[in-house]
Amino acid sequence: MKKIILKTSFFIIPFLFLHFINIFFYLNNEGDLNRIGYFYNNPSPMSKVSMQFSLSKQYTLTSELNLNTKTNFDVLTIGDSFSEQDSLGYKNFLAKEDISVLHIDRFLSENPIQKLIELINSDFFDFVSIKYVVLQSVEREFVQRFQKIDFSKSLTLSSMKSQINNYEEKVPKQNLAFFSKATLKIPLTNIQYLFNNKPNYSQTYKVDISRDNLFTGNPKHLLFFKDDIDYMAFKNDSLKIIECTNNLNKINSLLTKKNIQLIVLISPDKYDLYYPHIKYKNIFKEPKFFKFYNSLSKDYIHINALEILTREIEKNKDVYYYSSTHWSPIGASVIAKEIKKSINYNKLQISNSISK
Amino acid sequence: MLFNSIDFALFLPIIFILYWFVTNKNLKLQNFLIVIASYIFYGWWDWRFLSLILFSTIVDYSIGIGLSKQENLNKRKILLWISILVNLGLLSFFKYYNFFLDNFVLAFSFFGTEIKANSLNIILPVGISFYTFQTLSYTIDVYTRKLKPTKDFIGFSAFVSFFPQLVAGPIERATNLLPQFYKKRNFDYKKAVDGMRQILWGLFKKIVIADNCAQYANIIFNNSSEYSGSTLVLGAIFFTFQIYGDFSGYSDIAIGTSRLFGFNLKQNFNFPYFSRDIAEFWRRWHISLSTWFRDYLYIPLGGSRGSTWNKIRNVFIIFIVSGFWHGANWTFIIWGALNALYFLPVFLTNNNRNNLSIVSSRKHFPNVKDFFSIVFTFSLTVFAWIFFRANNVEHALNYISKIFSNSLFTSPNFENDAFVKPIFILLFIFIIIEWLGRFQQYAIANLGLKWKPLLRYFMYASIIFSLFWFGGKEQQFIYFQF
Repeated sequence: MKKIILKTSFFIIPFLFLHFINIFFYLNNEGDLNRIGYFYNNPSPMSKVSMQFSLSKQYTLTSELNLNTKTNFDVLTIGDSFSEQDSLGYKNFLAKEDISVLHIDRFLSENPIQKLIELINSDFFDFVSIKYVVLQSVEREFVQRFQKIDFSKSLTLSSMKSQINNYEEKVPKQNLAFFSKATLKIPLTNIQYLFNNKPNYSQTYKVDISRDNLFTGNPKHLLFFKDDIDYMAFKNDSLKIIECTNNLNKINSLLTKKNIQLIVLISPDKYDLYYPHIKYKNIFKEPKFFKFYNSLSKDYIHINALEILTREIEKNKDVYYYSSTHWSPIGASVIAKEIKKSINYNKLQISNSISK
Repeated sequence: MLFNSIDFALFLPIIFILYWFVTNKNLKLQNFLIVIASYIFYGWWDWRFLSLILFSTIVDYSIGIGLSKQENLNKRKILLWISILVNLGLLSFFKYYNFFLDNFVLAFSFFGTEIKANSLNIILPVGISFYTFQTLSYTIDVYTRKLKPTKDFIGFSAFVSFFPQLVAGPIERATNLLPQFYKKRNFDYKKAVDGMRQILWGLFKKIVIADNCAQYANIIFNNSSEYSGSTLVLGAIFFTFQIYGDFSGYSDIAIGTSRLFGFNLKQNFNFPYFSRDIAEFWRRWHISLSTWFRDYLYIPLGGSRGSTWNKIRNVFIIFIVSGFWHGANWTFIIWGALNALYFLPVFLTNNNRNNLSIVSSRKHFPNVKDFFSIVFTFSLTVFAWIFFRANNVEHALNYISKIFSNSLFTSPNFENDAFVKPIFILLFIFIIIEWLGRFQQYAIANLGLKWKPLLRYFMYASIIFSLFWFGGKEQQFIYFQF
């Protein structure tokens, strides 16, 4: 009997050992880059940044709205995970500034650009009166999202109601499964990062930076998402960017007919924003998306997030979280201020044109 | 507790050590440990439903005792019916209450009468279909005097709740399993090694084959309107391997675990996808359930005796009931009926016992006829699984109609193409191993036994490594829902 116990232990104990190491050291709730990069440690915890802000939720979600009665809001926000972040998101900072904000729930807008088109084509804006729409998309998905849009689709208020009623929030499993790639990948990745910054087994780059005061805790590395580089061909495709801008102009003209002004917010990829601070730039391609996009003429209001956040990096640490692909409340609040400034400027322009 | 979880990986060695080192000198104590372990194993999922197992155990134990003291046939029948009603009553309430209620309301509304009835939010206790059938088999066998009733309550409790096969079978007959609780079990190294090998192969089937196929089968079935006919065929094939890997994998782990504790459970799957006709398939798929229905339903109904009409009726009854056993949904009933339709031509032409032995015995490859028979039977099975997997009948019909469209002749349009390719390679390796091992209880029963130890250990290490490297998302066993 001892023989079988010994033999079985020989095969099983190493995996059990790895599994328990992972359970104790792997930080899967410390930012998406930490999770998908399988990191054991985080020199700059998100909580240290977030705890500086204590805000109550001031915006309204569509799922909280009584869609049977007409309502008014100053701003409608629609976007991806950069538009989430609960009370620490830009929409809440905007709402704090005496601007009423309605936010389209994330589960209703897998592709926010498509969803906005569907809302324009429906009766939504007849029931919900809006002055400005903030359409947000992350840089890496921006061009791709336009490849899948269909201007003929619509999302009526009634189907939106049924989507809201049928939605069940799925809480993702946080615990590590024993029989999974993670048992091997997590230790393997942590060893690999000692020698190499490329994500061979994970989805996070860990590269050296030339400045050590970019994040709390002064880590000497920058973490960013693999797709920031993998999507480079899409992001740098000038013809596709022109096409996107044309489509945004078209969306703006459709909104203008409803007396709504479009504000476009493209959230820079972390790689793009922090590129100037990467130590060995020769091995990484230069991101050109914003350079080209900013040069195009636009009928809509454009928030130049890259420029705003680049300025902020010079003044503040943690504009983006160290261990996340997303901006922190510091970045989000600056963005919100800029949106407010643009709205005020637009109002001024309108009142000037009326008085003339 | 899932077999493919860390909980079980820790639970099993603890119970194993206690069983063989602490309680080994006292049979009653060993059986008591099995009961405690089984209740912990089950209670890990939801302790509230332990009361159901205990209730079922007490009822059938008492009825068994009652039957032993009763010689009057009518009174014996009453006792038998009490057991049937209690067990099937529990099963019906938890599994079928809402189904019958909804269909009742629907039937009345069809005739213009609106009935207001509220469905209950009932949680289906895991494994209820399995342990109720197991306890029923005990009472029926005692009633028919095939088995002497037991007076050993602990032994009987251990039989009802035996953790390796409690939640998803194999559904053991009391005549096979119960007597094993009365005999002293001695540790047998060879048996234990064989058990470990079967557990290993079961884990491979579940984690590497079933869970990986599940990821793609789920995507394709859940978004079937977006895919081409050829992709939907691929989805149905993925599900075909998923359900086999999942369920037979569970059975392998259950049988292997039982062997570690000195018990022999019956084979539940005998390489069904190598069947040459549908009758052979049903002799090889979920054997413990098929034989249960054969012995306790089909034969009492008259079996294959009587007029042709009676034969057809009996075949339909057994297949439809078997389908309904799987779940309270019309899709399962149609799946059962479809299998009855497949089976009838073979049965009525007396060809249902043509293929009793395993295909291509003493040969490496099947002959052309066997090959095409296997492919044909497999295709019929894949088609039937569409109903089994679909959310409802409409979904199944839409899925099938989309398959038989022009897009059937296009190449599959699957988004994560790069991830699908390794699965095809894994499936190919899996089919080869299963084919080579088709004469054994499980595919790797003899694999490597005559190799040098180092080579054999390398094989074990490779399979274990694949459990981790190719481990899909941890998923519950499909048959838990039944």
